[in-house]
Amino acid sequence: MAPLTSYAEEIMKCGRCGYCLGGYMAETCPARYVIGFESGAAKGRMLAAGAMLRGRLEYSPQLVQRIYTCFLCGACKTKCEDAARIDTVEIIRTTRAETFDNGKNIPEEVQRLGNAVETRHNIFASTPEKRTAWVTSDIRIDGTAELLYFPGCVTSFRFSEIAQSTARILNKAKLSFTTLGASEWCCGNPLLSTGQYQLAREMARHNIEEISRKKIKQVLVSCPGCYKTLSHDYPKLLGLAEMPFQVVHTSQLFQSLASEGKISFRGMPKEALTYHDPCELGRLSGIYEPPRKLIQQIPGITLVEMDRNRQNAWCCGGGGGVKMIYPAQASKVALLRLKEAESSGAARIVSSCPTCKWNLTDNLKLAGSRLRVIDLSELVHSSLK
Amino acid sequence: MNSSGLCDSLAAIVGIENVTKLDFDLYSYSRDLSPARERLASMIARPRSTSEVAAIMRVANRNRFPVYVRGAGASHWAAWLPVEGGLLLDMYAMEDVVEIDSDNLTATVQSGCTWYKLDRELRKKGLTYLSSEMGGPAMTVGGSVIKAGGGSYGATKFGTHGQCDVLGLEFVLPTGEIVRTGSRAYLGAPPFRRYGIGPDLTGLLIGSEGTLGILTEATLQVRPVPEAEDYASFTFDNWKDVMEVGDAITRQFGDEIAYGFQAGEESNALGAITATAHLYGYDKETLDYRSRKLRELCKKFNGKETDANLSREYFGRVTSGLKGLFDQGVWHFAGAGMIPIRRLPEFSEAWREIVARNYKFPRCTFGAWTFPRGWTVYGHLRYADPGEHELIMTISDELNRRFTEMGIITFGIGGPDGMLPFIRGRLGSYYELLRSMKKALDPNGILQPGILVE
Repeated sequence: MAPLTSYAEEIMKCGRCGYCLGGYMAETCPARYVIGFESGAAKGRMLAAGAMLRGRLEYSPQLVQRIYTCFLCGACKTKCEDAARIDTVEIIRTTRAETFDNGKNIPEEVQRLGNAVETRHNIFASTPEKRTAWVTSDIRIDGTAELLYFPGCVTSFRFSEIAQSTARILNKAKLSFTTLGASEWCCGNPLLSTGQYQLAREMARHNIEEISRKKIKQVLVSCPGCYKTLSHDYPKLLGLAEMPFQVVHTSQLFQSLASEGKISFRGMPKEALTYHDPCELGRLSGIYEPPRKLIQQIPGITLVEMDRNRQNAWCCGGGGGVKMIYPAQASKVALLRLKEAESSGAARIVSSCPTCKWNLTDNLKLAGSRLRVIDLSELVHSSLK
Repeated sequence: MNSSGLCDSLAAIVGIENVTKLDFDLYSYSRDLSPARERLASMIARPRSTSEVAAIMRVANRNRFPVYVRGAGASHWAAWLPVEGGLLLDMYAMEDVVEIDSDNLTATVQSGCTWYKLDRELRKKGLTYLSSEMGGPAMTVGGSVIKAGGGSYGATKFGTHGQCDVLGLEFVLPTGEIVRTGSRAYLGAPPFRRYGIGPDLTGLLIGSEGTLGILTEATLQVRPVPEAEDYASFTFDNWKDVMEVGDAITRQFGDEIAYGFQAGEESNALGAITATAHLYGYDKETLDYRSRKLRELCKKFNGKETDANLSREYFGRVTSGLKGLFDQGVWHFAGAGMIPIRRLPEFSEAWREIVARNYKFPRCTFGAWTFPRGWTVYGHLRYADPGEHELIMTISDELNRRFTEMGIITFGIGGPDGMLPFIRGRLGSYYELLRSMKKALDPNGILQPGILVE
């Protein structure tokens, strides 16, 4: 991990134009939206980071809380593309790493997460063997396959239907795949989001070794957090010039399978769906079109866009560890997204991220919404011929 | 009352979640778009309504506590930094579009509403505003109006804010009273007219840099979205020709040929002046006439037409923010203000002499855009690295000093890190009257102390 001092020049590049603040309070930065003060947005965070570098700030409980109240959604980074091209997300993650290493006033939830991952290798502190509980008798796994499915913690332990749908789609397409089973460890994304780089490095090292041992060519992930971590963060964490395998997200692979005719869809009852772009898949990885193309290929389904989509999509509120540490703030952000989805006229929200599904679903009742939230893999599986 | 007591009083008004004196919050508001050094407030509050602002001011006045006001913090001459500590009001939470009146073509907004948000709401009704700064999404209506900002979007036709777009204001006096100006001041009258009985109190606030009252609402004249628009770009090799074009396109006062016309030259490429124009018409014939006329004028004064997309890209990004804003380094504005229509070559020559010839500084733009019978000019220097601060400050001071001596009407005055050192002593009896008015309205000198009025 590069220390915050290595970003000093980049922090100084902030010309304080305020693009990252957005055109109104709820337009761009979910942290600013829940906090109100500019210290929530990247502009304020860069000024505060500058003060940290000069040793002007104490790691008070309030400062630590503010540092951990960022959804790492990357909306500020996108806006900054027009201004100073500052990697705001990386700088904010680094301020968390410095905060964590400092050790003062770290939220209990962050420490609990670290303990869970360190001892059980998953974010829920579940027994590692439960990671494979999603594998039902009808699912065929081929231990010799060159494709490895890496469901990730949230999918494996909370949303088995996503993993099952994914596996059944692969089976249907006659695409052999294997898994790491109980040897799969947390990808490290929640650790990186909460500043626990050392532990994240251990996770990366383990997962790469396990995957390499199986001579895997391609790793398929359901979770955009896993996608970003395996493909973008692992090389940086371990100093690798290139990864020994390719990482692909389910939305990309399913779209390829559909366009190659390896899966096809039956006619579905007419329905309008809206697609929610997960931040780590969209803004932070640039994958916007494969899920949309896939949805549009399903007969009977009409894709309706929310006002804010693709790089302008509003975060679901589940990112950056905020759901775990400050759930009320994650709810506030989710309510806004659900309202936007309602306005689109859709009956269901489709996303490509288990954490988006988690946070949006958790807040349906609070929103008084009749919407249903499903993962893309569930939609695809239920629409297969 | 000590600052803790004041914090409690503020929390009782705006809610505890909208008051802070935490160090990292104070640092996050410590700078603006200008190169001015860091200034820390003692506490920050986020009012959401006019009545909250009024209640805050009553408390602050009673306790003689300095109050500074800020929209999105996009001033480039330190107009909103807390020179003397005190309470900083973040007006961004007051962002509502209060009313759009499609009959009277007016829009009333809270002062923290951005131009981006206003335009978005107006366009749903087929309307848009008259003119705006190119500040992108993070520029509030209140910030623009209270400093009489402007340009370059629509400036050639409608000038700076306040020239013809502001119909009335609502503001809170330093002592806490709420005042409405224009026709809105009269019971039952809609805010359709700026001038009413008595003097123009709207004008008193415009350009006051928040020193006489806190702007809470503004009513603006708006217009239908034009049916047709056109863009054109040109190059010129001298500023006299550019000046002649600007003179000609604004001579038909009230029926200016262009909606926006602006030009710029880089200090490392003297003689290569790029000009962009934005035209509109409520029917195609009018637009065609204006396009033809503009091109004739540019040709007459030796302009060579280039790729119109340069202009489309520039003027098209008024609400989204200019692209590549800091590609050549963080900005440092200097020598910005208004000059009479035929004095453009003198100012451009002074800029060339100081920046390009004396200091040979390679990363500076001299820019100008027309307003009806005048130009707004500016220099903006760009940092290659923070170590250039001293050199850039030296050049900037020289540019500010020379332009002030030449009679520029500066964009704003701001505080000791802004234009105040250059303007001080040049305003004569006007400034004395302003001081007297300030004393009458703000007897305890609590509002924006150190800004504009010393």
